[in-house]
Amino acid sequence: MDQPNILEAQKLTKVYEDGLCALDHVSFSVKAGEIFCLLGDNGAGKTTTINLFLGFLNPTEGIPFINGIDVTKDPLAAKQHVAYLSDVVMLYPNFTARQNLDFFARLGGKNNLKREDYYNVLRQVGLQEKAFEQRLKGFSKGMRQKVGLAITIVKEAPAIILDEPTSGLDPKAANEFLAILHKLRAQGRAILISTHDIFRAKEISDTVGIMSEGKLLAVKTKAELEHENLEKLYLDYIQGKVAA
Amino acid sequence: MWKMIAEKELRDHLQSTRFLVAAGVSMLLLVMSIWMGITHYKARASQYEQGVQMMLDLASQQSNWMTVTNSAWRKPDAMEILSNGVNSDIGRYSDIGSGRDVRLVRSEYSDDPMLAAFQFLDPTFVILIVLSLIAVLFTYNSINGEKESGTLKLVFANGISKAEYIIGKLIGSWFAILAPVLISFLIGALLIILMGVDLNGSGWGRYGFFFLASVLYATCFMLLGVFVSAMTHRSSVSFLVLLVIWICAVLIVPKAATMLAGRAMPVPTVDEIESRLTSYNTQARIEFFNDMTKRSRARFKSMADMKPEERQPAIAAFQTENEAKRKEMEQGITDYSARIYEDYYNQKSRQELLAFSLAKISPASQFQLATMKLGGTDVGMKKRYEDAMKQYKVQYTDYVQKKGGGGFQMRVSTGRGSTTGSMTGPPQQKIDISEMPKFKDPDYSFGTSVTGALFDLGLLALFNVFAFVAAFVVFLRYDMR
Ligand SMILES: Nc1ncnc2c1ncn2[C@@H]1O[C@H](COP(=O)(O)OP(=O)(O)O)[C@@H](O)[C@H]1O
Ligand SMILES: [Mg+2]
Repeated sequence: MDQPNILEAQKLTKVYEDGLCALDHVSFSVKAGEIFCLLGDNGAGKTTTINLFLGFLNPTEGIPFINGIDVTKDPLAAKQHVAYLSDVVMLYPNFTARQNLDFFARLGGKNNLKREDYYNVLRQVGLQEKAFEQRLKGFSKGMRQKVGLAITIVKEAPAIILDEPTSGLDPKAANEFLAILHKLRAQGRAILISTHDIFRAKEISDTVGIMSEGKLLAVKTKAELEHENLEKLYLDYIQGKVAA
Repeated sequence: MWKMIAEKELRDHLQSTRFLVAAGVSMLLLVMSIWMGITHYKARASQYEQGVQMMLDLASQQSNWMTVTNSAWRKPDAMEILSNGVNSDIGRYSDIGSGRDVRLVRSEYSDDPMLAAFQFLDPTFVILIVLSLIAVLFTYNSINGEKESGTLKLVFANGISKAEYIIGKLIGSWFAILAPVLISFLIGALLIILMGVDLNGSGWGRYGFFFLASVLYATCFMLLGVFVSAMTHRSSVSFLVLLVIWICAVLIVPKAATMLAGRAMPVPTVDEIESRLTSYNTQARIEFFNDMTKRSRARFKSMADMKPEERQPAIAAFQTENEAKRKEMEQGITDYSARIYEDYYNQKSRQELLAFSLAKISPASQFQLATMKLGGTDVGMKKRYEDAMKQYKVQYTDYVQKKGGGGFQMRVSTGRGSTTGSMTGPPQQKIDISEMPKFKDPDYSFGTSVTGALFDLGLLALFNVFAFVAAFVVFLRYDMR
């Protein structure tokens, strides 16, 4: 692949105030048109990695880059090139789906979108038409997640970061969700996903990074995984049977 | 960017049920309290007219100035509508005349104990309680609530700085709180006009300042709400913390300060002072009579061997001497009373100063003191009226004296005149009261009220600045994860 690196982690290290080393020299990169999956148990350091990319945390060591911009140096500029969806997506319950989308779109620099443009994006993520102008109060988790995804899409950023996007979704909703990710990949976005779900990881990703206790133990491409049992591999890695 | 946040914040409020209910209730209460204030004021105004008219009618029936019972009435000020303050606590009028102490009597609370028990629901009270609660209710989760719903991270995944965000947030929330207050005050102004309250330019100016004070007060609690919300990570925690702060600031500090000041600087009660005065009075009179008896015995002894024609001037001399002594005694009593009251007021004002200084750490007290000053119903009201009435008393007694009345002697002679029924003159003429000096209420202009309120308004503004800086700085360090 000769695509440029859109997201890049350079020896990211994070030691929390309490002395816990949540991240230990983690390096990887995500190219345009690639889905990179951070696979790891709870507490492996996935969210910490993502928080470093978004400037919510400062790395103890190493640098996160978005579109070539050092996040630690110019976080505001870097964040203009990334769309993000957190694991908790309640959004604004008093706003309708369209109003939520409108607010975040303008925050992301899309100032002149019309109502119909918003509807198009909401259609893309598969939200029922009648929910477009309904308040989020009554939405199910899956519906909220769709609106959240619409928010990440509408920004049209080259990089997309999703933290545990399918946790809590029913299989149908999760499948729809993943179908949209494929579309986004086809558009040339660089997508970073964190998950603890091995099957989903294998299903959607071009590259899987196996994480445990703050270390990135292995990075496998889809081709490399073709003939391997990812589950076994994963367990072997985190139990230390295979040297990283 | 901050505009976007402010707009979103305002819209979020406007679309929430919480806002609709809270703003609706506060507007209803505020407008209702203004309406009640107007009704109350108008009732007081007609009561005042009647009282004054009755007094004048009665006076014009008299044929001698000595039998006139004059009284000075407090004229209701339309600003009482906004802040009733001590208005219902102090008497509505005082009798005026020589030998009568100026004392405001017949307060509304004494006439209507129900009113005293339940207090008066004036706009000041509504704002004090309801507006502060609402400001807290609107903001207790303004920061940590967004964290809980994950929107904080979502917002900050964009190129927006924390400073822009918090500014926008504060401005948006501020407008949300401003809206119901502004609407209530506009409706209130309309009511004042429609219900025919004659409010002059100074009155409207004070109305405007009252609005300003209310906005400053509500802003205080709004900033406090955001500050606490940015200090904590869970909205249930910040709600509790704010509730405690609210209870302390609004309910406890003002009362505790007064109690503390009472302990630290005890002042005798009015009853104690009255009883002290009464005993002094009695003592002075007993001494006077004892002295008179002694002197009259001596006189009679010396008069025993006088010729009848010599007795007449001797008796007259005795009477003049007596009168002089009596005057001296009464002067003594007046002086003593004046001294004791001055002492009392000095002590009282020192105690009040202490109480207020203590209470002023709370924005609720700052607000209340400012609005009472604006309404002219502050704690200085009683003294202001009593001083004006004392001045009027001097003016009036001088006038009566000039009209041929005055002193003990006259009363005796009128008594004699009526009993003997002197039929020689024309039928008794009624006195002409048209030139009788009228009581003028102490001057309480726009300038006086605003200058009086300025210090507390300044404190309130200062509190706002501190709360703003605190909320701002704390948010800059807020952990968004
Ligand atoms: N603020 C913090 N202070 C101290 N330790 C933390 C903090 N946040 C997370 N951790 C710890 O860092 C490790 C990685 O956490 P996280 O990145 O959230 O894991 P994941 O998202 O993979 O489940 C965990 O052991 C977690 O307990
Ligand atoms: Mg996580």
